[in-house]
Amino acid sequence: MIGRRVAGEATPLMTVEGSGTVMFGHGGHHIQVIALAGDTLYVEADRLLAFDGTLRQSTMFMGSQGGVMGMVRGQVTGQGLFTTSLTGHGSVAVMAHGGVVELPIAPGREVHVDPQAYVAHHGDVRNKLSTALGWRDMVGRGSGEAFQLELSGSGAVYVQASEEKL
Amino acid sequence: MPFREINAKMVEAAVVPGQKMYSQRGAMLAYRGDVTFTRTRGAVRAAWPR
Repeated sequence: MIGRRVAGEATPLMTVEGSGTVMFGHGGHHIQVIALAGDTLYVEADRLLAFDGTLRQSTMFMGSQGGVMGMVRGQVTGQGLFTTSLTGHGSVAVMAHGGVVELPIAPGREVHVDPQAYVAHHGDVRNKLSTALGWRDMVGRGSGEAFQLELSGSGAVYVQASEEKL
Repeated sequence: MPFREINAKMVEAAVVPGQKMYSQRGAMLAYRGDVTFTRTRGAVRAAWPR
């Protein structure tokens, strides 16, 4: 049973083909459309509403993103042990709880995100989960969050207006 | 095959012959034309208990 949980479960997907138009939505969740221009989007499989068939899909083990902290991050964000990546040129429709804002990430301009508000990110981005507790928290001047996700590099992160999962 | 945002909670996509798209099961709200939906095995999702 542990082996099966480690391996994860496949999100049921539908292949859509033919000629016509299709309207997509799910559970009344907010939807953010992300256009990829050759780079890679990282997002939890459960948040994928629909995406172009031209994109290359793969699954990444969270441990590869930082060993134990990678797995801890998965638990804190609720993403679990695996995340999905989509690479290439095409569009992706992602679900979120509440509205979504896109925050650019650039060298020297890191972004710190509440892990529970994190939706997805794309580009050449490194992420690190850190405990935010410091002396400021001791004197009541901290952010009030136990963990922060620090994203650096070049790309963008999508943040939802909620700390709730879908 | 870009998605057109109808509103904050719905998107629309044009399906053309020879091109595929993938959607989460249950995501289709409505469609027009000759469109087929075939179940396929998708990405691995979270393995942590929720």
